[in-house]
Amino acid sequence: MWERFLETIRDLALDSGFASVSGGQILMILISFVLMYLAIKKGFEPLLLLPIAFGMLLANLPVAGLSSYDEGNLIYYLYQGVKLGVYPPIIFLGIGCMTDFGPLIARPSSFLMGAAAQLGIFITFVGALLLGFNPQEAGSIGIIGGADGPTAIYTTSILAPDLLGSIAVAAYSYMALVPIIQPPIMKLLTTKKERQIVMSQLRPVSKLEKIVFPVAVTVLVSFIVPSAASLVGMLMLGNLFKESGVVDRLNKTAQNELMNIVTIFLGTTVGATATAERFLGITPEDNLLLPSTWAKIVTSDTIKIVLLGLCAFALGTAGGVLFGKLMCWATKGKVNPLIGSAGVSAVPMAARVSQKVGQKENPGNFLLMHAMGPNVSGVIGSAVAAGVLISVLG
Amino acid sequence: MNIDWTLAGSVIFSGLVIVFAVLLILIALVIICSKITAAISNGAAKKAPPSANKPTNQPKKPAAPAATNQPAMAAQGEEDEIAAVIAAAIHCM
Repeated sequence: MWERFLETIRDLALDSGFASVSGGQILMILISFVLMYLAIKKGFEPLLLLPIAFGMLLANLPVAGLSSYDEGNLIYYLYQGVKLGVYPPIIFLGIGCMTDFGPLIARPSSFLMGAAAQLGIFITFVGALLLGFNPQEAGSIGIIGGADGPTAIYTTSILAPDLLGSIAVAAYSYMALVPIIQPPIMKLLTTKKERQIVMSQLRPVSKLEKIVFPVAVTVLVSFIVPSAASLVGMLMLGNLFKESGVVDRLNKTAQNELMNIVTIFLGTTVGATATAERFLGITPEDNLLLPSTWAKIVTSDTIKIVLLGLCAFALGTAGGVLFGKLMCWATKGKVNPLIGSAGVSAVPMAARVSQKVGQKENPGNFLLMHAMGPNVSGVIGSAVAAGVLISVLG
Repeated sequence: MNIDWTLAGSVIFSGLVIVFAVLLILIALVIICSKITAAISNGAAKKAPPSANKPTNQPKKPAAPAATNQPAMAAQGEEDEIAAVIAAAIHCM
């Protein structure tokens, strides 16, 4: 009986995670702890980064088989919503319910700043190709420059699903770093006099305009770029819920319960794609104590994606600001170029950065509402850019 | 390194052109819609029973001082800013 007992203990030990864990899994678990710290303590986009981090932890638990690729478990089935392109449009529905397109309608020229800020996507696309990624992967990496999490996840799930974990972590981390990344670029590309420009008050926008806008945008964008119809359509449906004023229950559900449920599923399952093999580029047989393993990690796709993501953000900010300067010149000083940086669609963070940088130069200058125009235009612009990438590369 | 520069060029060119073109068309659409809605609003205002031709024996209200327009406009501006901050805060929740 004693021998039987010892045999049982030995079998349990051999079946446990301790016997099977690899160095890569331990490292990924530690990385997930760091991301959880950033989300909880530092407030880095916690709504997505916390479930992503925990999904990463689950995926790297040895023997548990909880990654998004391990068939039969809960995470695998929930991941189908990402794979089939269901979750990101639903999140866009909630975003549409929370977005006010009034500033954009009041000053339609803001659309152009939203377009210019997508420059980062396409320049980063070339950079990714130069670093050895194939065109589909390069397109997925470039879309980080759109500064839009659901768009990045939607595009990557279609073009390069193997990179989903790395791109999602990079995209949401940089979105949280917008207040750090953008101001130096904004100051570098503008003069003090330009930063002090006070813009005239926006005209009032009627309810009818706000109701017609989402319908018109959906029809127009979907006819021109059908691949963007899913994202833009749901964004505008949500906005129509909000502006119509007759479906308050649907509006509240879409921006609260529905969005929260889908955010949990999306974040957790995307995080659970970040297995050690995919995220670090090493195999279970690689020994973490060897320098060659660390050389593999440092030159892995994830590190390249992190660097390219930073470039995409920076170039997008620069593109928006430079176009803002052009508009400032064209309007003889009526447009403050700082609002161009809000064309990256990190709503409303980027608009608040424009407000903060402008207020440092001129405490009485309120740029927030003016910056919201390019900010929400960037959401549409990045969705259109994603549609083009999917259409050409998919 | 085998890069298909033709594909890369076409992606960049078509991407930027299409994004700008779509948003330019949206600008035109918004301008046209705003003009149409303004015309509809003006038409509705003209059809409303005229209230300007009131009998002159009504006591004249004291003329609102011009200075009150500025606080009103400032208040409107402040309300817009407050609404923007609240909207941003809700979005972050």
